[in-house]
Amino acid sequence: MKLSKNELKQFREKKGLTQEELAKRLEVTRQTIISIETGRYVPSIVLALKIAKFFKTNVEKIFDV
Amino acid sequence: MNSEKRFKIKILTTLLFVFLGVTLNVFNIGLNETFNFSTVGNYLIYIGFIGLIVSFLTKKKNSKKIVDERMIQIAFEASRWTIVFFVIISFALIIFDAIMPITMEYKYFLSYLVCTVILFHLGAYMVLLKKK
Repeated sequence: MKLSKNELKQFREKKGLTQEELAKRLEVTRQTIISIETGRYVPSIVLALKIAKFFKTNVEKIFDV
Repeated sequence: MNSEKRFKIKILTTLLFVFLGVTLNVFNIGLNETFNFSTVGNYLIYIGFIGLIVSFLTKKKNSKKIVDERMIQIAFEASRWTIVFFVIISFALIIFDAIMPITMEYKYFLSYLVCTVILFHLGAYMVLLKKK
């Protein structure tokens, strides 16, 4: 079931990172990245901010709010 | 709670078990045979040592393992599933006992029940980890 829409995959691909590399940088598992990208998991505010900070952008540009 | 703090709590608890076991043995308390162990003290010492070994092995194994928020959330959900399962299985056992009385020894019955609940929790966690 898709819970949320987000642009994480596009941002990640634009930076030329694999799911594994992004997971390592964000200190989460690869499965978590997959779940967020497919919209099966909605990250916490802390993780969402961490992702936004990593991509040097705003949270609302990555996550559909 | 971070893993280091959790590890310290585990070690302190297991050491407390060993200390309690030794104290009971020294003061000759709980000398009746309990669950096939000679004294309650010996039983506590046994649990303490097993706990120590498990704590060190888990720490060594999980030193590089990532535990993120999703996994914690899934573990909570698996716990919720387990509680529901426990309630359902309890009702089922009450009905089963009424139809066909359970003659199994209490200690074995409880051991099987606890093992089933733990296995169910593990299964639920694995399923949710793949599903979510």
